Amino acid sequence: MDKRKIWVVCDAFDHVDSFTGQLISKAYQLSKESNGSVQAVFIGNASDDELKRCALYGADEVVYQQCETKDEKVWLDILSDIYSSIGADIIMFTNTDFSKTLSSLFASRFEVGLTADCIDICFEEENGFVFERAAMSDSVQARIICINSQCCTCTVKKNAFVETEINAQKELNIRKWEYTGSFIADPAYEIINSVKRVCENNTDLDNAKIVFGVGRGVKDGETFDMICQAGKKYNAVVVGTKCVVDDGLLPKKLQVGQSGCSIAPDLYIAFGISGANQHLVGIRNSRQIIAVNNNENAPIFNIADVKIVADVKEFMKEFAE
Amino acid sequence: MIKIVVCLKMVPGKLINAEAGGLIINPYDLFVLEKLAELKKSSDISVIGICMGGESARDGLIRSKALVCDDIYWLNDIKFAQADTIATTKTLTAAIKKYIPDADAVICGGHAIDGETGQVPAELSEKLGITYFSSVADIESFGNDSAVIVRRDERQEMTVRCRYPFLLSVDSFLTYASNLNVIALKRAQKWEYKIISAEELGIASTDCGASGSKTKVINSVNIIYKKESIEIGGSIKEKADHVKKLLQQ
Repeated sequence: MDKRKIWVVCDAFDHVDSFTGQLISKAYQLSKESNGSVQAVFIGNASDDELKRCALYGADEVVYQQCETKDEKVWLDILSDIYSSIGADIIMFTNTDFSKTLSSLFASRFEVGLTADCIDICFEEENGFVFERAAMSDSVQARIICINSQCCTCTVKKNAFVETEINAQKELNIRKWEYTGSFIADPAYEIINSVKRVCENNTDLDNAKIVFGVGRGVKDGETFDMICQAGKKYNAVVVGTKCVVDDGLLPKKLQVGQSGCSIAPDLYIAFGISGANQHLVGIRNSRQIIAVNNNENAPIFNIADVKIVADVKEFMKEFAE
Repeated sequence: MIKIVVCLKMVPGKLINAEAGGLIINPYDLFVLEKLAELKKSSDISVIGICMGGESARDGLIRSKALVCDDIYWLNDIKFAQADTIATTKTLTAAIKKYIPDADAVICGGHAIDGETGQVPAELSEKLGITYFSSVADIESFGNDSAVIVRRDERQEMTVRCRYPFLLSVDSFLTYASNLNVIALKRAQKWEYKIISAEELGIASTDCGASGSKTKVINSVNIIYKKESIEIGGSIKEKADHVKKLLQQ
């Protein structure tokens, strides 16, 4: 039997970024479980040396198409061309805005199954590739397979997988694709005005060692300010649950959970977080979790190492001292 | 007159308010309806709602009608149930092509708060073969051959004029409809909602619902493992001191 083709679509345009590294690392692991080979599909503008970095994480081949523009429609046509020619059994995309659009367009064009924001993927003889993501209104993870579908596609959450360099020296084949279609993006719009957004928050959440989480139990601005002050003091990044972000207390990029980001700090302190599954999937890789909540039965305590039953406001008054 | 199709999804109300029962209009779709209600006062637009859902969607449809919709297509058939994004896209595409083939714009909420995949808008644009605009924060105006919208991502905010036909995926949301008035609501209750079956739509049952889906949930597991936690007792001060000590390590 031919080897299963496991694709990773690289979307960093001119380099192999850490997110792509995470995907190739997972693809490599899946290739061992499923008797597959890992193909990194790289569209953009990168040197051979940069492309070779895909081998560090376990890619067998890079399919490279030189392209000067980063436009979803142009990439879709290129990707379709490659797919129609060599085929794939599973295609992994990052879940950046760009790749979410690209993967949706692709899945729709070929009518193949697409699972959004996976937090895990495994291979089982019986089921084939199985994708896991949080079931929204439930306290469990849904395990999803593709049916009646030529190939399986998915977008993957950042930090769901660990970027791992393999020990073995791998022979990497770089296959230069020669796409003959158009590289011109459809000019169906004109820009009237464009304003750069000032980044209010330059926090490096991916590398944060200490993270403070704020949940609905933080009911007033005063308590929230005390947590932010303490965050500064201990060099901790302050993040929030979905409802806190929806309420506008914190920007979307500091939302942790299934619909936000996943984190893996050394220490996570959850203030007034009840522990909905939506949030827990985002913090489950934290090395140590301390939870402060006034409800002693809050689900957050199930995964906490240290349990503190206390009113968050009262606790913060002492803690901020 | 500019013809605008709005895709509507009804989601469990308890996701917004723990005590609420039943289904409500997805907050991202509600933003679109409110925006169109405002724009309708000053521009020549007609708004057509399209919704795939069972009887429990009725209340949300009445509100949509009262807010702004001139017409509503209610795709209500058990055959549509359990659709994944591909089957949903095919069903919506069939309906738009059959009933509103001359739509100038199709507008979707960026994602539904129950599924959270956000895949349908782009998938739908591909099937309809129209230009796709994601990350839309606001809609400013509808002109004769183009509309002005605001797109926003982390890096920039762009005001863009886009030519019809197009599909927008809108990332702003609302949980409360301020343009809803009681008289309109009463009128909307009496309106006759057209229910469209799979047969009437002319879609094969293998193209919609569970049988048209390309993904399937096989089971659910708990991957959050319970830990043995240590409870810190004592006074609030003792508890706070304990955490301070852990932070200093």
